[in-house]
Amino acid sequence: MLKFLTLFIKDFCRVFVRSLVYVLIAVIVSTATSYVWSDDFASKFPIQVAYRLNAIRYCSVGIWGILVMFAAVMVVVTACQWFGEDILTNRSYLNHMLPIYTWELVLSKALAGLAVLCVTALILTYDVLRVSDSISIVGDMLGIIPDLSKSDGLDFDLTMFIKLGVYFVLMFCLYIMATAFMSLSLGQLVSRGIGRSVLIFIGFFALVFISMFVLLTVVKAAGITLSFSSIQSIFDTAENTLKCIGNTNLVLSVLFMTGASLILTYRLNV
Amino acid sequence: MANDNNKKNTKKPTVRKAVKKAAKPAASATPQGFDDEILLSLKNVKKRYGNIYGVNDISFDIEPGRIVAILGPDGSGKSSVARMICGLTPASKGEIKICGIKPSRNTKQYISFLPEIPFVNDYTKVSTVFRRYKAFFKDFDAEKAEKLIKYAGIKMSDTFGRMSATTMQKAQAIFVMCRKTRLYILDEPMTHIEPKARDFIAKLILSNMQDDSSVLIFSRIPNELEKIIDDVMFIHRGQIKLAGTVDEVKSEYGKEVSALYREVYKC
Repeated sequence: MLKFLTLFIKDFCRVFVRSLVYVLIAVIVSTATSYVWSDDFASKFPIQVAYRLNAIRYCSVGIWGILVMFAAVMVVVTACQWFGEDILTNRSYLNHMLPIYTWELVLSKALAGLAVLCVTALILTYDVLRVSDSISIVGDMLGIIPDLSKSDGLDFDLTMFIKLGVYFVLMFCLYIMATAFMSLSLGQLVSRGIGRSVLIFIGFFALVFISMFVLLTVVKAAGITLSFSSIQSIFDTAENTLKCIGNTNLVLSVLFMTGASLILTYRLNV
Repeated sequence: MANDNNKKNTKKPTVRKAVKKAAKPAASATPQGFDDEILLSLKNVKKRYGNIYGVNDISFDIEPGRIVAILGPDGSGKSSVARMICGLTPASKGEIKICGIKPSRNTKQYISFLPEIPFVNDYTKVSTVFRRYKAFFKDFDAEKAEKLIKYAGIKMSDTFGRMSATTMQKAQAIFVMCRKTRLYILDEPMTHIEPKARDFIAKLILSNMQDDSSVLIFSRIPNELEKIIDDVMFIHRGQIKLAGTVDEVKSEYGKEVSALYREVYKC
């Protein structure tokens, strides 16, 4: 257990350090965006060119939003890259000679990726809250949902919905990581060369296709069908769907990571 | 590789047990029921790559206290044998046992492996590898490693990518040999380095090897090894072509191992 923890901390630090640059860019852009939305910045624009101010403001919010998503994507990419470098390349002999199980190597990489994603989400959420006061559009968006649900008399818990949304996103990211790990491990079934790259590419999309089929089957079996009869029913359906897909993604991730561990144990061909 | 004359001169391959009886094990832990007679055993081991056998029916035993060299040119199957022993790639057929158990997570504590290529990424620092060895291997002598690293003129803050091939090999060899384990597997430890550094590595092997442990060296350059090895095997196209103690080989063929190697492999 101690050895696994040591490995996990090492992986976490490596993935975090590599992902930090993307998070920092997002934070710097958010700070710049909050300045763009300040009165100080607005005072530099005469009323005749107010449209320019608005264009700059909305563009900055758009760029910031894209960068937030980009940071999340890059964490997943970095985790997968770290998995490849640290386990599947010729330079990974030391890791394979450590007295630990292969599944511990795989799990450590996946958990490190997930943990860095959680830390990134926390930093970016704090960042959103920090700048929401100055960026009126973000503050308005955050405040409008509970107001709407109250005024419409809806039975809608925003906190619960945010938690569920975060759970769904994290499980989705874990699933993507596990799928990438599994497809990279599938490449070990053939010797080096173009065949390996092709197998990784086809393997990834085949796994995604299989997962889609599984997800649809599970959603259907759970009796979830989209209902647009009322706003309340849309929220209820969304809640059940998020739970169902999130849980299925978790199960699929565990299955894919087990598959990756088995392939690496029995067919390692670095 | 070997021509007809050489084939006539070379006796049929004899895979044999190491002759010398080693001193009784002192410190290293071994699995229960292991009799300490044979440290490493390979029986009819084969490794297949597509339609080609990289290793074709290899069998030998290694007793504790021996330094064994497996010599052969590129593509003869040396690295495949090393990787199979270390559990880095499975054997297609046959049986490998280290301290009486098959290659697995449990055998990794009995093996210290030095691969031919660097075992970490270019951007990894010496201190990172040092910490990793200290954290994962109970038998790692951190104090000794630290002293040797200083002695070799290597800084803890150095990254592997910025080192010369010689310095990199020295650093890796120090880490590998500073473990007090049963079996040291060294793949081409002296191939890409300066002659002076070869002496350093030879001394490192002799001074750090335990009484109850063995060193298995895979190489294509026998010259520097001849001074330190007890047994030698010639491997060609995945098969052992000759095996014996250095003294036996010398008396049987009337030549030094390196001279015989050059004659057999025409190099």
